[in-house]
Amino acid sequence: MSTAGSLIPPRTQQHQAAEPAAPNAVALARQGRRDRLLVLSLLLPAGALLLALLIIPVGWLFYLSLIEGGEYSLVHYERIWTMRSYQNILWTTVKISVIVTVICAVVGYPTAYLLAQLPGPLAAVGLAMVMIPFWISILVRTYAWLILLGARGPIVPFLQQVGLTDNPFLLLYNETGTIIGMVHVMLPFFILPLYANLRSFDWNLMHAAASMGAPPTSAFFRVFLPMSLAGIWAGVVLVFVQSIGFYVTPALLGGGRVTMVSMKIASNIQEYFDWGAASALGVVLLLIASSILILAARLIGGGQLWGTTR
Amino acid sequence: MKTTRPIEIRQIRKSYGEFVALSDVSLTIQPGEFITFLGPSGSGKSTLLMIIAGFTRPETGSILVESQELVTMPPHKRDIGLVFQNYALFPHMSVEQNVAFPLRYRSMGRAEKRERISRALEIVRLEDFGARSIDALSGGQKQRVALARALVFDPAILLMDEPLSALDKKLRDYMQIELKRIHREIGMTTVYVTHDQHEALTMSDRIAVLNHGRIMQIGTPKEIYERPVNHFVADFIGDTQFLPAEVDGETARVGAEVFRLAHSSVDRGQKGLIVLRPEKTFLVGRDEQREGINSIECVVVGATYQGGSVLIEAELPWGQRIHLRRSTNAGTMSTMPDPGSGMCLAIHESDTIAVEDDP
Repeated sequence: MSTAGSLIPPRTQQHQAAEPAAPNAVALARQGRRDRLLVLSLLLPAGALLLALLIIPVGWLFYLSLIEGGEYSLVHYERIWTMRSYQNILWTTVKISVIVTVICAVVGYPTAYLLAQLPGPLAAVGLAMVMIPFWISILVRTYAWLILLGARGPIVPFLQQVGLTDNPFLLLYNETGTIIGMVHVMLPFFILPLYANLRSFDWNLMHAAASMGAPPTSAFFRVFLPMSLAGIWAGVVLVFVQSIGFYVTPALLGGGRVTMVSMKIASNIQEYFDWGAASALGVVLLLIASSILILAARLIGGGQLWGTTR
Repeated sequence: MKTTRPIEIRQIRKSYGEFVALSDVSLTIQPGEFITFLGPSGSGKSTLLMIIAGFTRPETGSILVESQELVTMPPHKRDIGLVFQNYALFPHMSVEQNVAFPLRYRSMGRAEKRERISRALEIVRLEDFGARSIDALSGGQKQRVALARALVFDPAILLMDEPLSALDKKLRDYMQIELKRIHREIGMTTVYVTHDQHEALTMSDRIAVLNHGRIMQIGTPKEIYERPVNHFVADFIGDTQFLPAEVDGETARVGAEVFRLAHSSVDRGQKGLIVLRPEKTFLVGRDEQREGINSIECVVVGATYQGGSVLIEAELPWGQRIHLRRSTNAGTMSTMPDPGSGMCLAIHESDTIAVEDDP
């Protein structure tokens, strides 16, 4: 065939030349270009919004953090890196956020597990109970905690009476109070993504495990728990990332004795008008949050974390 | 542990409120038998399977395996392999880890475990798939893994709940033959649930036909098909048509003719139905010899070409229309009757059975 093929190229060329141009090639290509332009123009409003509300402000934040006395400088970051007080604040922030996240996981998992097993109407009632506090202003809820945890609230006087403590400020204006209030605010953020994950669990898998000889506890740890990891991670990320930037609740329940990064940012601006230092702290928070997200996405797969795949 | 004695299921009753899912179902499953629960949806077949597996609690009843009562035993102690319609494989484990799962709860040496896993994967012909993740398998492969996982611990009973219904037809036909082969190879007592009569007829040693929570008939595929004991079984299995008849022992009056019956489940003098199946029914000329044949005059109405066969429609004197099937080879095609021609609808006496008419 190859020798025959080399003998007849003139003929194939002739054949190609004789063939008419592919039908409608030009018109179809023009339509394709027009469709692509249309899609791009539809993306424009969303793109403009992102640019105006996210990209420019964050860029500006970066810019401000690099300015000191009208000149480019890394002095703000240097201070964060070297000064003991900044490090204490960062450490407190991360520590409280980790504790809040762990408590949310420990309290939220059984709650979501229960909700996921309830039949439809009961699950709706249970979910409403999780959601209702979520709809009340954080400020209102935090003031409610001030009363509940305070020296004249129901808890501390009771503890004093039974002789467990003589400290009227056991639960308020310290880390304990801050953590209690934050857990209350953050809990729905842990329960909801986990609930969505557990709700789609195929309970046949537990039947399968039992049929193969797995007692209920073992089936839970070997099948149910590993399959709910994506939901746990989604909740952990949501709670942790929000906790490290949380302001209102720690400011009120901490009573000035607990300083988290957000409060330092506020005081930098309100008391010292130091936008550069505040911006640098903002950038550090952003970096911590991003690295947690990236780490979580690495651990469980981005699709599962963002909820784009199951 | 393979069973050497029959599994005795006695008087299982289960209801959901007003709805009776199973009413006093009893049957005995022989060791090594492949038995199918066949019935329409809502007949109770899956409920019965779930009761044997232990995931549904009946109100009364007993399931004895090797003189051990199963009904009161939690599922994980029952030693029953279960294959689900949707596979129910663990997606966070590899094929091998899935198959190894049941062995985790059984004490045996590492070497024996490995031996059993590779043997199970070999039986389902997935020897080289051990390291694959579940997501990377096709539907048919997933069902094989599910089967290997249910076989690997050599359970007393293997239960399968419509295991092939999620597969496309070609694969389903192939898997039917595969399941049959595997059953022949290891001879495991198998309970299979399906609503697909073809599947039931192809695979089973015996079929239990269920309807409204009762066993209508239990027997070999041939018995169920050739000798249905009531209207439901005759109607549910096969492409069945019925001729009204007055049954008198071994004969039945059909229109102006008297049919000789091979089998009847109708009381003498009662109204009954003659069971007609398209492949057992044929046409003869009105003047032809009719020794050993029951026949009744009819007029051919039309014929529809369907590839492998021609579907002929014939009208009986009282206006009822009957379908019968003729294969399409040159011989039969050349003698195809024209519409409007008067013929006789015929059925061999040995194929003629009567069932009672539902009140």
